[in-house]
Amino acid sequence: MATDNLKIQLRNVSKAFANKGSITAAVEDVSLDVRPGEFISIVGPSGCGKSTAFNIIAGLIRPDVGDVLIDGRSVAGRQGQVGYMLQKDLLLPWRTVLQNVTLGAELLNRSRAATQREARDLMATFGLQGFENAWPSRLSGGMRQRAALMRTVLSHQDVMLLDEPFGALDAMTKSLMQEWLLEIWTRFNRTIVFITHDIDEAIFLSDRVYVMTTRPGRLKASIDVNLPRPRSSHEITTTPEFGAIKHQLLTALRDEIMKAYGSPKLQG
Amino acid sequence: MERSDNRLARILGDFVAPMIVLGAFFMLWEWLCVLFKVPVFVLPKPSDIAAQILKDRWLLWQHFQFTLKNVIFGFFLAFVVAMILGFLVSHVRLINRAIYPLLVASQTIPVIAIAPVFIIWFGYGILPKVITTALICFFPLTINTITGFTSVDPEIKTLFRAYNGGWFQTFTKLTLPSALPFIMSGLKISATLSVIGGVIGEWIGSEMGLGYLIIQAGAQIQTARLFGAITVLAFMGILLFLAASLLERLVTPWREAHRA
Repeated sequence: MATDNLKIQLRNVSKAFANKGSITAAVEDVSLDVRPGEFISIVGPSGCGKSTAFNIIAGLIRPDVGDVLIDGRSVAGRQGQVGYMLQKDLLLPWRTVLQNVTLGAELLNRSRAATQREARDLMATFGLQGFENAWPSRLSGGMRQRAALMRTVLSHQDVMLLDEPFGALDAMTKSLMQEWLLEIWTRFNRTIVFITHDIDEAIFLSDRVYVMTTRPGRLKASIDVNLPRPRSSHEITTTPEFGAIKHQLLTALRDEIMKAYGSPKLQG
Repeated sequence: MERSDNRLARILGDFVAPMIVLGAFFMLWEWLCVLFKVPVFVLPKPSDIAAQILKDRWLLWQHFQFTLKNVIFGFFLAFVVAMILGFLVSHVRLINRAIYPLLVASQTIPVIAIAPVFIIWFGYGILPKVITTALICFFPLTINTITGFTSVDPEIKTLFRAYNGGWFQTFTKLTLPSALPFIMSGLKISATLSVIGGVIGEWIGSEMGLGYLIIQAGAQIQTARLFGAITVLAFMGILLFLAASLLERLVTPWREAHRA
């Protein structure tokens, strides 16, 4: 793997937080490489520091040790380098759907007219046509997440960070949204870092899945998902290959989950 | 169909129901006055008051204008002060520490107790009336503004940071719109209170206004006129509240959609 051809690199990243006098290591010595156009997932038990790693890539948290590079340039503590989406859609209630999906681009000072034109063209792709001028309060949960993803896509960042974006959706909607996310990913050719604790979701979507340990969060395993694309949920998830990868992942995760549940200080 | 049914139900609930209660109240009042032969200078019948208002319409209109003008000026003064204070208290930690407790403490002083001071300082012009109104209005406005400015969703704030949003962008596109519903509630509360401020200002010393008219009518035991002036004052309060509600709808249209 040639270093200069990597989209994202985490190099020995560590971060600890001071809390009421004691210091907790959130992530420890995390290194990973993502090639352009790859879809990778990070799975791990709750409170394993996935979100800390996520915020470090987003430039919202500066690592104590190590470096983060996007396109070979250090972005440690630098914001505005990635697209960003969380479990909560974070749509602004006072903005219409159209105004919401263009917010990211607007904050990054991209051309307003061009973004609006693109947004209008993409409304159908995101299943939001006819809702351009609606308030977000009128949208369903799935539509809200699609609008949030559209905001992320329209920000025109090569790297998209998605932190459990479908975590709050019901199983049916979630499954549809996953397939649809793959279509979006293929079409817009972005690099995606996806955080989830849903193993099926991680396997179905990703080229590679990283397993993170409970605090301090370390990368315990990296498992390649060599399933053919395009993937459709009902076909892929029932194949023996899928099962084999799931078995590998569950084995790696099992100890961590046991540790997390056995820990009396388990939080969040 | 369903929508028009809902609208009808809402109009019934919002308008007709209170009107029925009010109508029943007036009828009972009228009937009790007749039944017990209550002298008009003690308690005039609603019909007496209505007749008096009709007779006094020109007089009431002039005093109404005077009071309304003072109240609106005072209201705006309070609004400007509340915005500036609210912003500073919620954005500057030191000012928060220094001013917030004083702000609360200041509310323990009754406006009516310090109002005479304004007569000493500013005479009998409109300024003391404007100030008493502003003093009454400014507290709910300021508190609501502070609450609004500090109620920004921290996750959305992080989203703004992730997209490299600057301070000014974050303020105009996030902080201010987040605060608007709170500021609008403050505005509605203050709108009704402002009338009280105007009347207090006139009671302390004035030769015009509905408050003055009430004092005069009281001194001359013109009870029907007194009630007439009170009715017009209530009308003014409702008018100001409706104006504030209208402004709320215009400024925060997304909340209307939420309710519908």
